[in-house]
Amino acid sequence: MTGHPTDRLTDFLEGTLDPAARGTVAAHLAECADCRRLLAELGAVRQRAAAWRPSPPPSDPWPTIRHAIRAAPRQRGWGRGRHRRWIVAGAVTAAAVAFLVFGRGVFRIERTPPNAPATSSADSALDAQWRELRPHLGAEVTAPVAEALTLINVSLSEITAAMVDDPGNPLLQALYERALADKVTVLMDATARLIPTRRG
Amino acid sequence: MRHSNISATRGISRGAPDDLSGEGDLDVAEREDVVLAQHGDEAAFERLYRRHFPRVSRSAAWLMADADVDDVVQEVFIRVWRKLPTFAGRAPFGAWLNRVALHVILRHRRRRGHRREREAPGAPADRSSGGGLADVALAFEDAVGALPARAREVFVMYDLNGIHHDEIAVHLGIAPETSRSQLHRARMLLRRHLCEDAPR
Amino acid sequence: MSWYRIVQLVTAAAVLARPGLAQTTATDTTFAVDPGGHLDANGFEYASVTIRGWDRDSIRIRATHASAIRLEIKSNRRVVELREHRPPMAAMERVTLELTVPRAMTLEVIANELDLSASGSRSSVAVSTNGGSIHLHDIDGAITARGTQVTVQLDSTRGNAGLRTTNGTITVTNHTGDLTAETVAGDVRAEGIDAGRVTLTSHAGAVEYQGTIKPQGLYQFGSQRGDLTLYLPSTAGATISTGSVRGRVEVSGPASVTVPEPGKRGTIILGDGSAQLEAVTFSGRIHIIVAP
Repeated sequence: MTGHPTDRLTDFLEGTLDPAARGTVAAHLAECADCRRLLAELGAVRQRAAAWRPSPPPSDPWPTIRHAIRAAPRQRGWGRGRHRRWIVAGAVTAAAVAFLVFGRGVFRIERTPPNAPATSSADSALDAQWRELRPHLGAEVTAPVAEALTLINVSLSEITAAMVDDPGNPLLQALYERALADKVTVLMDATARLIPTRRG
Repeated sequence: MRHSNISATRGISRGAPDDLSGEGDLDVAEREDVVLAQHGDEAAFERLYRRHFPRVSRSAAWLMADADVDDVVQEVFIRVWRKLPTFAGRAPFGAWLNRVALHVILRHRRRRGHRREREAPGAPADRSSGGGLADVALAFEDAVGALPARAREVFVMYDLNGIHHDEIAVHLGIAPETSRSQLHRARMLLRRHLCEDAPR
Repeated sequence: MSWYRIVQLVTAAAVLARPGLAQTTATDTTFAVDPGGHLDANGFEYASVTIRGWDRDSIRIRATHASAIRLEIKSNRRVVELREHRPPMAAMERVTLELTVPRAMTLEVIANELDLSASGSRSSVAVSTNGGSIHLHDIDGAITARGTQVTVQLDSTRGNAGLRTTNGTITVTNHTGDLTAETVAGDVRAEGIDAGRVTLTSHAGAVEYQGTIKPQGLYQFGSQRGDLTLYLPSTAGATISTGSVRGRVEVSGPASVTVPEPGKRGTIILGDGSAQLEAVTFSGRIHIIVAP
């Protein structure tokens, strides 16, 4: 072996050398303490980078950002222009199906008019109900319900994202309605925990 | 339509499910905030901003001229807010946000033409060329800021933002081999500072 | 209407005092009831309940619990009510109930944390809890089981069953009657099912079905990200509407069928196609296995 393969040590560390080169470097490292030390130092840099927690920046532009997001309309992730009406029509069906009055009326989703963003309205209404409901529930109910709602909400996001590319897909619409119904069910069951059990 | 392969084979893995329990580094709280923010919760979005803004700000400062940083950071988070409904949760939120941020940062660089070199006074020379280094213990961020421009860019993108060499090469208009060698150069320079800084 | 007669709580109670441990109260009481009456055990914080059916016109109640908890039993022969009165210091104490009831008595048990085992009933059973386990065996009657974080298990049951848990696995074995089993995070497994209407859904878990496909029956199976595995009899006649957005549909069996394109919904016809079957996922695999 002639010379030290220092210029290949980073690639060796990252695993991007071809097998022959890797073998050559490994054989050298077995015999060269200086290169082993250098490799360890390079590894320490990588670890330091991975562990880096940035210090607070000198300025905080949040007020400007907040102003901008309040002023600007938002991409919904589904229903570009001409497809919006189809999705809304299907979503109105979902919202209508999800019209419920439960118990003491603590939980209700109202039917939304056509051509309104009914999908997001029904779903947003559910999230609002959850935020209202949550402080009143015991911890033993809150955690699994929150976990379940997170699962469902991520699924709803997946489906709506898929609808962007394939808005006319009845399979996606069926899955969306099912996920929304699941959400309704979870919240209904959680609401039921609020109803005091009968006492003798 | 295609015909199925009629067989009783089993053990085929699921089609691309998301492992919600291991969404990269997302903890449950962030996952919930992502979902809430997708549905318009500004407070949840601010929490996400607070968590990720320092990294975005530092990365922007290292990749561009200081004077542009605040504008760029604002644009990043306004864009994140608008695109958040399309985030499907297939990748960790931080990784997705980093990509949005890099896209914005690099677009600003291209708009402003050739980047300006930003060399700190007394910047360490490349050891491989035989020059000596300033005998100063620099904090990690100061050390990154003191790197030669190209090495700094590659280090920030690869080690701090998880971008692969092929993509870095496209963004910076260099060959992938050059990206790898610049990463090596950056780590070789940084290891000096870490040895002096010695966080053990 | 003053219809409650307070039953003496303790007919053979013993207060067991053991050094270093909380005092325990044991109750063992039997009294006559209308065989077609109703048992209402409601409001228990933390209970372990075992219910068995017998062929007598009486109910036997055996209970063991911390003495700080007061067990209240009320009956007017038609309705038997069990309640607990629990001080905060006894929040984590378990009440253990062993109930032997007329087989025709309808059963309702509601508790915060509950491990329930019931068998031998020939009437309806309704259970609701936040956490624990529900195991129903040899029940002939309508079954309703609801829970947040609870595993539900049915075996050798008959009657329409509606099972729902937020986080928890549902397992049904050898059941006759319409079946609905829904969970968000857990798996649903149903085997040996004889039913004309079945709905099995999970959000994140796997769904598995083995059972009849009756003519003009309605069968719905779904999971967002879990796999669906359906074992259908060789005589099954069904129109199957199936598809997965990101997953794959496979059909195994003696006959050649055409599966839908990836990401699309399609129709598969088995036999005379008289039953309606739906199997959809977002990213799970769908495997329909038709017996030879």
